[in-house]
Amino acid sequence: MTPSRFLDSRRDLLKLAGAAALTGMVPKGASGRATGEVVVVGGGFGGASCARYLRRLSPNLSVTLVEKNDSFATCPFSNTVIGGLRDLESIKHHYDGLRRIGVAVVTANATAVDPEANTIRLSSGESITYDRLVLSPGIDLKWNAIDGYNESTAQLMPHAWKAGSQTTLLRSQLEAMEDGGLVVIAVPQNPFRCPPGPYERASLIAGYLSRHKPRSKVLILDSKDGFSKQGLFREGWEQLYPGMIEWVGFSDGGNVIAVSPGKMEVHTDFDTIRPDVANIIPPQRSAGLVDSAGLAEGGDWCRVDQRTFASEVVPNIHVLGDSSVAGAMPKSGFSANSQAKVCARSLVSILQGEEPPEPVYMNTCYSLLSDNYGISVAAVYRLDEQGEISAVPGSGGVSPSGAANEFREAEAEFARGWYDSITADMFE
Amino acid sequence: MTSHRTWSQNRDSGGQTLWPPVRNAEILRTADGWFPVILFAGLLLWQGAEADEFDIPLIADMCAACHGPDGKSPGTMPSIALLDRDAMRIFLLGFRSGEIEGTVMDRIAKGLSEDEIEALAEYFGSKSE
Repeated sequence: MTPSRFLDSRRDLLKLAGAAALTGMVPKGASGRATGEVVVVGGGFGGASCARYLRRLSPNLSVTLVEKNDSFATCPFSNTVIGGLRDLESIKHHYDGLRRIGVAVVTANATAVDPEANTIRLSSGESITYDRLVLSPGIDLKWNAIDGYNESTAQLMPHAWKAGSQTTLLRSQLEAMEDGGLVVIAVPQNPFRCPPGPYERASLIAGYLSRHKPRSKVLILDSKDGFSKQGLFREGWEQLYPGMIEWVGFSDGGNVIAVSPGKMEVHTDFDTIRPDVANIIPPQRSAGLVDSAGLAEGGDWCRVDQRTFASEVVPNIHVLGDSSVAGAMPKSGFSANSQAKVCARSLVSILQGEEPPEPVYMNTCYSLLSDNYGISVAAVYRLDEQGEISAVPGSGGVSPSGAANEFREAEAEFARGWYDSITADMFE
Repeated sequence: MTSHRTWSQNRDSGGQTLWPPVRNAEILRTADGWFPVILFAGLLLWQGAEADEFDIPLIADMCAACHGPDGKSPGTMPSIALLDRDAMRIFLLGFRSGEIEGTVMDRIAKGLSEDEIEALAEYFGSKSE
């Protein structure tokens, strides 16, 4: 085609598109007519993405983001900090980009929701009124679900399942460990945040140990009999760290029931283990904030409408990310980002008095086994006939087994590319 | 680009797939004055019939998680913002059929319909001009 002809046509199209806009024929949720006060709680993958997309979709909407920290350290890539490949600063992100597009960012702890008054109370004593509330508060760790494991003993046996000081604590314990030491990673039952995360962590710790403390070992004590991308992890461990990582599943005595941090002991159903470094990842539930409005109904997670993420308990409160039950989607940063976009578009439609759009959701979880060995699991999701989020048959799946080194290298490179893209998609 | 037969055989029944892209370009060249009218009709169809079935801007936003805001990648992921309509269609249909090997996109594209791919190609293509 001749460029000039095509450009002429494009101009015509733009004129026509302008005419279409005047007659109201614009894509759903994009006309910017939605007004009102939306308050988003939680500045992570779900909340930051939702705030950003709400402002993009509807400039007349007032969007407030409540987040207790003035920066956000991502759980994705925090295992690279633990493995010594990156420092914590490189996975921290600030909220200036959101402020620039008009999100009112409030640095405060949200302590309670009043669903009758449509207000949210802050640690400062202040209250904020909302028309719609979006909660993406992440997880709480269930203290004492493992006997002896609580907020204070987590200083001796870090969980490092929320990125920040716990991440650097685990890192410094690994650095202080003698060659020949034993690192234990305790993994909870499903569902929990980031299903492949413990195994990526075992890989990157083994990577560090193989370079600096090659007589050491990593022992994974698992409360399940199988895990995410299991075949691919095992294949990679065999190739990269032969004999260094041992995995013990539930049936073989992998279930950790108690810890004695003073004696550095980890107790399973059958045995007591004395590791040099103990990384205890405890069972999890939705962040306690949701209980002030009864959104978890006395359970662990919040049931939501799968199209709008509106709570099944309080319809003008939306819950997304790790705290929500989202069908077949794993509790991942990518899932939360994807849900945030569906929620933002639904919310704008609702505020404009329109039907929410037919949703499509996506997720890709990359895991690094070393700096140049990556694997992934991906899926596209839609609502099934029961209205549940289900993977589209024939789509998605895991990386091929037995792939060439170049393939693993490419996926490691794309894992880093994904990180740069999604954090830009949240914060810039 | 060599196996047009496979491509055309793969298309959904009832879905109108313009392939190969060079023919598409010929249509643009020869349609001349009719082109805006055709586009306008297409726009009406897109607004009317298909908007109820899928939301292309929403699907396009899903791409941003890997390919960057508005398809502009800040890192090592391929930027899709500059792909024109034909390139976008070739890649996505190729990943979908398995004819183009990907690392992840072959698994993602299988979750999209051919109609959605056509509309996505149009959406990104119109922005890349």
